[in-house]
Amino acid sequence: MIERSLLEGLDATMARLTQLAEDHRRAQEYDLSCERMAYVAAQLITLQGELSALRRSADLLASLGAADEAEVWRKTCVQLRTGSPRALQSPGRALVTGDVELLRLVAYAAGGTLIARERRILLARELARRIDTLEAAQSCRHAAGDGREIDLQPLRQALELLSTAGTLTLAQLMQLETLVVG
Amino acid sequence: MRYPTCWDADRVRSVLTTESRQKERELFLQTHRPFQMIRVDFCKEPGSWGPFIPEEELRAIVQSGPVDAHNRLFFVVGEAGSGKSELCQWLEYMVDPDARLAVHIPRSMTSAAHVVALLRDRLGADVALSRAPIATQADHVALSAVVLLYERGGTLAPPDLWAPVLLSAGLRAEIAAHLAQAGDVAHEPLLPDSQVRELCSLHGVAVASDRVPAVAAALRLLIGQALEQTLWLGDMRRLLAQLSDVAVQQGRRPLLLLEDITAFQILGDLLLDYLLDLTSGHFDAVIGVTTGFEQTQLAGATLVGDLTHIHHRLRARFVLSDDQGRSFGLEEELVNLARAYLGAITVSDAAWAHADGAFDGLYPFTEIALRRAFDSLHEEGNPRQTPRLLLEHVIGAALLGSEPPPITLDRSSYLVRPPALFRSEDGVSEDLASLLRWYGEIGEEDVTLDARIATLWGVTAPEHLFQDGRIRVPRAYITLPPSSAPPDADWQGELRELQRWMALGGRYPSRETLKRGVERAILWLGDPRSLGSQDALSPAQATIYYTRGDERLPIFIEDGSGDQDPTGSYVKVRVGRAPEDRAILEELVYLELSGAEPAHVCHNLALTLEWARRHWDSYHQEVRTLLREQMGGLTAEQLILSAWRLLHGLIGPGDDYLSSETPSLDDDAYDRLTPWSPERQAICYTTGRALWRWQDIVRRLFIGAFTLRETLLDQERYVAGTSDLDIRADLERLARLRLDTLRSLPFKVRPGGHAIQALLLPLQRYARALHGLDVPAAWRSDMQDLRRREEHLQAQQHLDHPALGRRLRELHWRCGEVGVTWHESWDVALETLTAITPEDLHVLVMQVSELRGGAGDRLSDDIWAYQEFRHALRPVIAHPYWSAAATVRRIQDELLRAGQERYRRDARMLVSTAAYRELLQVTRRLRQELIDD
Repeated sequence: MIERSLLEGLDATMARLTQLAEDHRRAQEYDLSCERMAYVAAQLITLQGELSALRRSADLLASLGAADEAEVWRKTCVQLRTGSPRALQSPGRALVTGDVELLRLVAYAAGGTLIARERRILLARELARRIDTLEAAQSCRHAAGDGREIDLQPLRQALELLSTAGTLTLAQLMQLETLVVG
Repeated sequence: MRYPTCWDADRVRSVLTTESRQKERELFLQTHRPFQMIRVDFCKEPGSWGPFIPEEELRAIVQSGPVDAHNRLFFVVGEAGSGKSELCQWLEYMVDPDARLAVHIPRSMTSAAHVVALLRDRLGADVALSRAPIATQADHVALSAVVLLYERGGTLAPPDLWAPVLLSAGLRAEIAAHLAQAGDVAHEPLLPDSQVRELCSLHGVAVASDRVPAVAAALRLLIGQALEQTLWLGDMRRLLAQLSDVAVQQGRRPLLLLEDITAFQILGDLLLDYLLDLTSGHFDAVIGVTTGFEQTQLAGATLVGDLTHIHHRLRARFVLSDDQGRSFGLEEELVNLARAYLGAITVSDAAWAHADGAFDGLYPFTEIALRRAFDSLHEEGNPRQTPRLLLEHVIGAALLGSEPPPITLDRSSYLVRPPALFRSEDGVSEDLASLLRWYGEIGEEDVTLDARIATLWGVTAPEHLFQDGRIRVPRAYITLPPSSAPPDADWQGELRELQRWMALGGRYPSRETLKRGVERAILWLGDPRSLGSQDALSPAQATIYYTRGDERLPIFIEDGSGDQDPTGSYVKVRVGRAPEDRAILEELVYLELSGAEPAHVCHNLALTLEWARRHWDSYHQEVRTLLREQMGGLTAEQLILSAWRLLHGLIGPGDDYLSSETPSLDDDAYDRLTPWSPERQAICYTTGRALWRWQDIVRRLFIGAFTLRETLLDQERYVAGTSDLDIRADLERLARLRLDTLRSLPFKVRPGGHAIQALLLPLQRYARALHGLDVPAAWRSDMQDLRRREEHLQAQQHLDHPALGRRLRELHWRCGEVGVTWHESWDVALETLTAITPEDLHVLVMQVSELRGGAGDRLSDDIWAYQEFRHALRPVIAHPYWSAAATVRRIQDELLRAGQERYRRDARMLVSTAAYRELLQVTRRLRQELIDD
């Protein structure tokens, strides 16, 4: 072993201690980034759920012949596409730095969610009204002795799902898709 | 030896009777010597008495009472044979028969029937003993015996078997015949054995022939008790009262002389009860009592059970002998008494006429012989100087013996032979020794004897002992100066025991005295148990000391004296009975007894010292041999020198080890001096520390063994000791010592009283550690260490000292930053390193280099060379730089350890985590949703 001077030994010790302190600081920053990431992920998942529910509502109304109402979905997509921040495509840097890009991403997710939820509720009301109309017409036909009958039960179940408070889970969305497509 | 005599044995026996009453009146008065000293304990008669009175005054006191006065009691107390019966007999002969009626009851008259007969005789009564017919009295006695048989039991069992025998007509006829002749003092005894055998056979009682005497005795005792109870005892008080009344009516006062009340049982109690009832009669009673009986029996004989009760009723108490059994006044009267008796026995004879002057009319005694024999009288193991013993066992024995008195006296069991006080190496024969022992006149410087005595009895003596008609033998002991305390009173007795042991061997009861004398003589030359130098004068000295036994020098008196033989580790000074040592041993006994100076006692002090030196050397050598054997061949000196060398090696050169200053024994002091490293030579270090604590004891032992004064070496002893020392071999011997076998080693270090094994334990362990040390490996290890140190110092050659100072300060506050507790000692280390200069480091590196270079030539397996090297190494490796540098290294280690504990090191890249990848998928789906419109 090569002997070194006392000074060299002390230098090495100090350097090693500094390195340890730096590692400590990085570990603390990583923890903060992880917390930010979890928050942003939750916001974006909510937005995605609301958008899916809005699209199903528009598809249902379109199948019932309400073309104007179906246009609401397309306009919403355009609106959100044009206003999306850069961090939505690559959120890593915004999450580590925690700067304004992160704020923009959070604001976009929260705002988009509010828009989609509001429009989905409007479409749900229209869908309810149209189902009621169909029921009334079917009652008249029964009274007139027309025996043909349309099964409205799936439509009512789909409506029930779409009327919930915009917090659809992935499972609920899958169920809704099955109901509508099926 | 010849023994011319001129007396008749029968005449001797008739004169020297045991009882005074056995002598005729004329003979009694011829041989009687007046009692000149009778002690008066108290006397209630008017006048001033005491403390001693002659017999005439005693007679006057006894006779001083009026005729009709109530009972007056006088006790005459004395040892058996002290003259009680002589005094009673003299009173009987001397009393005025017109005024006194003397009734003398001798010791031999113990039967109630005899006493009653005597009283009746003195009363002048000629009637039968009782008014009832003899046959009726016999029936009464037989029935009483049957009652006693049933009540008391005993040999005659069962009672039903023996009652018919007692009530038989034959036995009653025997009792009647016995009663008929009761007044006759010489009557036949009741029931001889042959008659008992006949009675038993007649009544069908089977008694084996060998049991007949015991059965007959039991029958006689039973009937005797019945006789006393039924007839005599009941009659006694009445008879005494009658006697008293009759005497007073005749104008005479009865004088009852009861020689020895000890001889009576029930009768004695009855007599005493009557007399103690002072108003029961008009007796003067002189009652002989032995000292022991008065104290033990007499008190219990009274109704009150208290001797005071008796004494209060006495008129006077006279005492004839002292507590040691010596009759008062007899010593002064001794010659006259002997002369009186010899005069009554012997007649002049021409056979010793030419030597008569030598005996002074006392042939075959001289005054010296009489007095010496008198002083030697013993009975039952105690000295007892009474007239009876003198007459029977000195005068009587000498006159009736077939050999001259010295031989007879030598053989008497009543005489303790006086010691021979003359020196034995002067050709004294046994006969002459015996003659000198009893007849020799002891002068200040010699023992002398009238040569005519020896010639008369045919005792020869060497020519050179004759001088001026006397035989002169030098005395063994010189008279003590007046200032000296007198020797023990029993010194002659002890000397006698020594002489007996010297002559015959065997038990020697007072051998402790000889031992103390021998001890005293040996200790004049110093204590042979001490194994130190006798020339050492320093008060700081200590010695190895043999300590078996108590503080006294263990001495063994040989030849069955009663001492236990020395065994194994218990060595003793052996004292034998070589004839040539006799005079010296006698002197030593006398020396011890007298407490005198040797010059006053020892005939030839040089000879005594030479004897003591011989025994001193022999015993000292035995003690040394014992130690050497127990220590595997190590002598005391080798042990001390080995310990001394080991401590020298441990402490290192340069100190004044013999100084009187007590060294510091704390661990820090040891660490400063020891050559051993606690890490690399741990066993040597630890065991060395244990030995280090004994350094003062070892130093003192060395002083005690090899110095004249504390710092003045005894060159002769030291050179002899060191030339005998092979330190390698002794180290091995020490290392091989079996400590478990040394646990009971009877040696201690004095002063201090440390057991030798307590010193041997650290010595042996340290020796074993040194012996077990791999010296070459230790050398190599040290050289490697030195090389590392040298390299380290080389690395510091271009040290930036100001920068080092800054870094050291930073080290301090960085410790605070990460929470390392700062120790004060660290400040010292930091200060040392801050203050160290390039020059300091240069000197240090030079020293290390020098050590490395110097040791290179000395590498060997020599433990002593290696110790020297270690001592040279110690100041270098003890330089404060090393500990400071080590401390800084330790601080750095502490700092990094604390930093690693305090700081986290688990930081990761966010984008490489699974969570981030999931987030990307969410954004991807979201964008896809918006695109798929």
